Amino acid sequence: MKIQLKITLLFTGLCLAVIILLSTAVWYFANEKAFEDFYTRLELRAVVASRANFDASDQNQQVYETLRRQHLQRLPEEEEYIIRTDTLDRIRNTPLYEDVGPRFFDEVRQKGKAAGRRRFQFYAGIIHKAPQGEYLIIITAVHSYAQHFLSDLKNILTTGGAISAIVLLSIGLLFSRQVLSPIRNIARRVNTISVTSLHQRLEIKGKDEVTVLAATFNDMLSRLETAFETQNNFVSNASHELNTPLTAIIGEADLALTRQRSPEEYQSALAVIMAEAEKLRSITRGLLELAQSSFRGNLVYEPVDVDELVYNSLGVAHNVYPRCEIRLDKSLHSQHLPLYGNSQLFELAISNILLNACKYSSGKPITFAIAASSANIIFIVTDQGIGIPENQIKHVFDPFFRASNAQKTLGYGIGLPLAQNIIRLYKGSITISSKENIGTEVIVKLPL
Amino acid sequence: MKNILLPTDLTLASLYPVHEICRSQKGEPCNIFVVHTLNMPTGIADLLFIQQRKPYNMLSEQFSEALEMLRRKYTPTLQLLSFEFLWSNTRHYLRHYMESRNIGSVYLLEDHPYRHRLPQSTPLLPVLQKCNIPIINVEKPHTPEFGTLTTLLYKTKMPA
Repeated sequence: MKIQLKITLLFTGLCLAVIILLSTAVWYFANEKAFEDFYTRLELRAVVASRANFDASDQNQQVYETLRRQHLQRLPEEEEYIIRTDTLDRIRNTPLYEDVGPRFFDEVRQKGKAAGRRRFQFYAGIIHKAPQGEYLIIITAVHSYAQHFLSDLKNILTTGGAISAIVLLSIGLLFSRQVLSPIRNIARRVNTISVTSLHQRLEIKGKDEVTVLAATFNDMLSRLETAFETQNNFVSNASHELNTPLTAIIGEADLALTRQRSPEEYQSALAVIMAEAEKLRSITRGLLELAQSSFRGNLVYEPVDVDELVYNSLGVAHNVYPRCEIRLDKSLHSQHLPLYGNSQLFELAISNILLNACKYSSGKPITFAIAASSANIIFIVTDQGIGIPENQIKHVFDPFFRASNAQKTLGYGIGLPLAQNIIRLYKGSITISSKENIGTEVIVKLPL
Repeated sequence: MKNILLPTDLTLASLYPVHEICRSQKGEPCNIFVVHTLNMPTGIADLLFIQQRKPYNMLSEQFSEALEMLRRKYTPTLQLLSFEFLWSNTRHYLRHYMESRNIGSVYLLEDHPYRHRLPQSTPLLPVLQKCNIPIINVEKPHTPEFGTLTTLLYKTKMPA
């Protein structure tokens, strides 16, 4: 069921329920309470009847009779019953007894008067004590005004309810359409965005919930666009990186095979082929590590000795770049910190960052600092090398991406993505700030 | 125990004197009150609806983290490293503030511009100079243009 229909039905249902409840209450109270005065009228007639029949003076009786005839309007189907109370048992099977009910008789005996109704037939009775005995005087009449009033009220409420239902349904439809129109607009606009037009964004106006939804869509589109771009870059960069040594190998082999050559020439050609094959192997090894680091299976969480991690990473950097001067800065380092994770993976990540710093520092010293806050252990690697052009910083974590000023240095663009994968795997973060030709700062935060 | 006032412009570099303060203490405990002054609102509506906590939410995560790093690094010498916004920059207010906290000296970073980071920030240094309190200037290490946390490392020399 569509949300629009659901909203309409819910709105109509709720409003109708309130209307029905209100109508029922109106009808109930009108039926129960609005005709109290009729009992008083009947009671008055019963009193007058008792006076007319049982007053001690005949003259008074005539006066009451005249009063009754001339001034009391006869009610529809008005009837008068005068029964001696000691003969009440005899009327048990009469229609009057069945209409009025035994409770009426009990009440009138106990309290001296009683009133009641059966649908629109109203009864009022009083006990009159005359010298010749005790009499029960009952006056009954049909309240035709109440009958018509209630019937009209019922018609008005039913018709009003039915008309309200139709009006509510129409208003509900319009209302739900109005409420959902911004969402429909978003859906229509999102539908126009395809793989080839991922740069398009939804228009954002105001600060309501729908705008937040549109902003969320825009964020998602930005992420998708970056992901597509990254994927495209990855494919083109990977093919380029794999293609370069392969071209060199094929070229060298082709050249060697064109004619008969001396053993020295073959040796030299094979040496070139060997070197290029080594490059290929290191690229594929890097790719393999990158793929493995993305694996999110069972993560190892064992205690990691931070000092050991630092010295091992420094050792790796020294082995690869013996002439690189790395200054270990502990000016923000506090006491022993309980870091948990996989020490080998952390070492791989930190040493890759250090290796990058050494590689691009153009022989200038680099700083490797450790710090700690309550939530993180922080590694800061700062170099004074070639830096990264500002517009390319966002791509440095793309596999195989090489900054435009780093093309002269040998590298495959796998180190930083690998480090990022490992750090993200352990819910850490890596941020880079850099200025071209001045230096680069890499901050790695690992949660404690 | 020494109580020291350290004005900040909410940059990491302005926290650098903490190193010098703690190192000069030679193990003796000290308290550092890091402060940033804000203009007192003048309109009645602004005064009625002043949100004392609001500027604290505008602090960068890096600044708060740096305070925490320094706190951890220099415990137990550093007994207290607190940060607060002062809602006035009048001489009387500042003197009352320093008297109530028994401040002995003020540390400043030499040649640091102390910029106005928030819209309601107000300069503190001209008023401080009128307060008859010893001001100690700390030599500023060279701050690399690109760095963030690197600026807080002790005596890291970075060529221009």
